[in-house]
Amino acid sequence: MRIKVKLFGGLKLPFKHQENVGEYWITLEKDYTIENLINLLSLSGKPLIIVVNGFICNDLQKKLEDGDFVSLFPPIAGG
Amino acid sequence: MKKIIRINMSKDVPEVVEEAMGRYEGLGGRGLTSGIVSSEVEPLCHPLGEENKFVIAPGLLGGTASAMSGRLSVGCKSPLTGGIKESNAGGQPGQALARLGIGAVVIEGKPRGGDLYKIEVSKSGVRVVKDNSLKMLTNYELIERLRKDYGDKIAVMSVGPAGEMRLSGASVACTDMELRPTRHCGRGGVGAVMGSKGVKAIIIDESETKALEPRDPEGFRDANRRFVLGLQRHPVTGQGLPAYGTNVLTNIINEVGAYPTYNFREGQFAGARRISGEVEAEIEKERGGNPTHGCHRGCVIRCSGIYHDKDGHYLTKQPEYETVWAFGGNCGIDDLDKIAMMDFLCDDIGLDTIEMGVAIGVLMEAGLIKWGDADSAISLLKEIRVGNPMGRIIGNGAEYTGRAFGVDKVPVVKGQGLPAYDPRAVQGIGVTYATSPMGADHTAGYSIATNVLKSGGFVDPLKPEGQIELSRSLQIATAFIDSTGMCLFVAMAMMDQPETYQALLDLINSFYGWNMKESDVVEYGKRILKMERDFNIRAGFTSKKDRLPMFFYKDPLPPHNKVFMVKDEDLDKVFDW
Ligand code: SF4
Repeated sequence: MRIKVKLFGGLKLPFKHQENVGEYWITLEKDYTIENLINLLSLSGKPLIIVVNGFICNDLQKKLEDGDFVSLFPPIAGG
Repeated sequence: MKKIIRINMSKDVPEVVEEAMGRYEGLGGRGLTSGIVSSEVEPLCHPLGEENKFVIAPGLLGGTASAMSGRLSVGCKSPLTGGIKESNAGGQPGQALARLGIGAVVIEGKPRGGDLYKIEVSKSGVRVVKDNSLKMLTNYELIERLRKDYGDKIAVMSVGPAGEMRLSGASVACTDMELRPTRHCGRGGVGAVMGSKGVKAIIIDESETKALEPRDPEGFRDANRRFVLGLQRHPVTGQGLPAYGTNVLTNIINEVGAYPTYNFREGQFAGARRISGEVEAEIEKERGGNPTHGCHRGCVIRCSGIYHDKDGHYLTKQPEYETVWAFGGNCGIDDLDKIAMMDFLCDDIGLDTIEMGVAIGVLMEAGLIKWGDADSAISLLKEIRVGNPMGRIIGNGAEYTGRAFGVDKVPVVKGQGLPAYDPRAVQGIGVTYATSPMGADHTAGYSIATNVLKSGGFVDPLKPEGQIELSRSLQIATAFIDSTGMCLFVAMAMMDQPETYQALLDLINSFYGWNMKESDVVEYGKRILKMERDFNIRAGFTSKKDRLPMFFYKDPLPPHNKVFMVKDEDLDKVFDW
């Protein structure tokens, strides 16, 4: 399945990606959870806020589905 | 001993009187401005009339050596909302006034003629000086003049042409560490009230002041150390805010579908990434600006920055999230340089960026200019400086603009424009917008922290459940923090780290010799909200004013296609404690 990963707030992949815009399509095996995905990415920082298809996700064991959009953020704030 | 300075502008020669804190002892910042306004201002008065008072108050910890304590509150009856108003800002004036032992400055009455005055505050006292040569100077022009006359060891509060014209979107500027007029008490038209008193500028001599002595210096130093450590340790106050500023929010609010776009028609903006804090910080670094800069001495979080233009020259301070949104997604504009120009114009003319962005969005809704047309938006702001009829309409805010052009979709509560979070996608902030005595104000009870950013737990933003309790407890805590002189961002660390919360209490207790506990904080906050609500009720407000505009209950917001679902009878329970 294909998942779109979007990285924000300074989160980066460990290698320089050619389309360095913070948005990547990733192909995964079936039965991948959010936690598996985060481990796979080995990002520069630990994501705290996870948004899947526009919904805040608090369950790291949630199974991903083909075509999901996953947005990852470190701890951030403002106002 | 702190003192209150009263200045009566109705006298032929304005009269200055010093008095003890008296019945206001123990109050600071918002607690003090709201205390004075609620007990001394006739609630039915005209906000621009002589019965209104313009109150300035540093916080409880203002003027001390504690980190983050330089915020200052101004208060009055608001010409925008018709209710009580407190608006606070960073910059240097808060510390400077407090170090001179001043608990509050109360400007009363109104000069009969059209003369303009400046107020000089120094160790040797307070002087009110007529100076008509300052008329209609913009804030940056004014500061250049004052720098020549007084040197640069000053801190200044001022109004631009918008305040002199008494427009309801006018702000009060406070100078920053570089003596630039970049930090604004923006909301509610407080600049119009200062302007109505005939006061152009308050010039505070910083040169011979020193930090106030705590009752228990040892305990105070220790508490400050723990407080700073707590802020540095927390990932938000220690890393996120310093690196990207508040505009780091653009992406997350957009991703969760709560980013008000095209005057609250949609919840996502295609150009969001281009105007995000991440991109802004890159531009600032590239052009020799600075993405990590404090708005006043003593700030250790440093969420602000310096924004340079394409040629590497100073353009404005780092436009923060609300500003970038107001002129950005709200108006369909995705060009950071143009947004930064609008930020500069608002600082210079003396205007609230949120109110101006929402007003221009309403004008776009009316079809007068096209969505995304940044150049026309910039021209409109320049018309406010000139003071022609079009400029004056926009300068009076979103509701006034909507009425002038027959628009029915006007996002305001109590006449004040909604900030950068759609209440249909973050229901908790809708409760705060609807019920805060200040009108639509995100800072009054920042539910985004818990609805989206996972500070202090998590409450699902798309459901009505739990939002009343969330907004209530945040409104109470905020009323207290706004009274301490602390920047509200300290709350991000305090919500997650009980020891940082305790350190703040220890700072206050060791400074004053008090014994304040967590339960006292809640009582303190409630007392302030009660005074503010009481003023509004006497000014004629009923529960009908504690509602969002109808379209939020009716028009679903894409992408989640939700409406605002918190019931009216629940909104009426926010202040039942
Ligand atoms: S964190 Fe930001 S707003 Fe708060 S005092 Fe520091 S620079 Fe000013």
